[in-house]
Amino acid sequence: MQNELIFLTHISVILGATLGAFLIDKHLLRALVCVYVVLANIFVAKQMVLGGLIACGGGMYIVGSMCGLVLLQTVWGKEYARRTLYISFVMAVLFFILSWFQCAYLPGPFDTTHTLFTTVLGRVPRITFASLVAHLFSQGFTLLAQSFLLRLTMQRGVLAISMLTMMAGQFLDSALFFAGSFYGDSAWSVIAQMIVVSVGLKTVMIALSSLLIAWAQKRKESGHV
Amino acid sequence: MYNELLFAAHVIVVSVSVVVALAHSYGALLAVLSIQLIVANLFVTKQILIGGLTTTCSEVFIVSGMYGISLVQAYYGDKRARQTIVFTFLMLVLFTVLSRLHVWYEPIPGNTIAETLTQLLGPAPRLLVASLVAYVLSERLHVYLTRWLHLRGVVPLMRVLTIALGQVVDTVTFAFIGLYGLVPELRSIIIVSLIVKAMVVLALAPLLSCAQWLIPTGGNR
Repeated sequence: MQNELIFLTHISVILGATLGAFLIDKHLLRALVCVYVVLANIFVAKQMVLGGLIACGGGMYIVGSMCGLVLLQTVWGKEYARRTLYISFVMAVLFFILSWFQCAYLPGPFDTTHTLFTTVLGRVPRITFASLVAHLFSQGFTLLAQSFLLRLTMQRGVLAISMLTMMAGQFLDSALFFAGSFYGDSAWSVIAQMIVVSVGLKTVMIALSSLLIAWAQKRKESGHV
Repeated sequence: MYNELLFAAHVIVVSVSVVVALAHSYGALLAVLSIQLIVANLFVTKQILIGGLTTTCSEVFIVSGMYGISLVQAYYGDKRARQTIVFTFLMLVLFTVLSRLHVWYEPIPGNTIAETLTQLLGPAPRLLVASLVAYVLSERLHVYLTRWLHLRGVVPLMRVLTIALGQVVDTVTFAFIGLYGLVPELRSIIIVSLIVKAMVVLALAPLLSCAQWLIPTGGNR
């Protein structure tokens, strides 16, 4: 039960920070979305049991960044949110470069942390690459599937098709990311559990997003943002 | 010579990232400065030799931090610069809270990375307190000395001395509160940090001019 309680606290802190940034300044929210991507890359390697399934430490940040992007899109438009997403990928690459420098420096005679950094940061290139590839593939798949199904149904059932293709795209994103990041290091059963937990979190997030959008619209109309 | 060349390349990379972010938007610049502040606090415990002196791997972020705030001040004004300092510290506070939560999770058996992460993230709260105290003390001293000199008819050279004194207080305070007992060569680390800051202060004016020549106005995307 300890992990579940920490998880609830964790999600509350992340959502609270995201909503707080939204209310303060759009630039702060944009920066926070980018920070979440970097934090996900740092913490993803730790695995814990949540609700009987194995999860990784980076999943909560996906919730935070999705929440942030939904808020940005609702109030400041799709283009602003899209640019923020691309900036976040550039930040992930920047973090990869900074990690490389950290590991490349020759340690001093009294240093005891070099091995610790290479152990944790050594995974960053693989994680960053897997994250970028997963995103590109899932985005492409979502757009193609959406357009194909809408043609098939002659533009009927737009909402249902959007939800369905988004869910499928998120599943593909999780599957590619976890397989790419953990293949060879973790058993397939562990990878499968992490995918399930990740997709579960994203599903809850997608379901909550309509509430978020409505709330953000209200704040926008009342002039609070 | 290897570490010295890496350090020079590192300085160029972080400085260029700040300028490129500025060209895009204030939000991108804020993201870069926030991430660099977080990374600086995370990476500070590794010690390396630069020019024969022991230092930490975070000195390079002094350059990008000072340069970044100066750019914000030049392009977006004093109010935005003060706001940027507050925002980046808020990010650091958030990172400290989130890293504590991560440490508390019970990992699965055999997850060796968990223990490594715990050791790396362990100093985070102490470093946050050190950063905050150092900043507040140096800022207060700088403001007090500036007012005191203004009342007595300030001489331009005295302004430079107040900035320098503020940086000395900042460096020494952070080193003692954040790193004492954590790293053995504290004196050497303080000396290198002060040298790096002095070089940045001297190079700031031409670096700012260079940025303003490349990017006439800050990005707004």
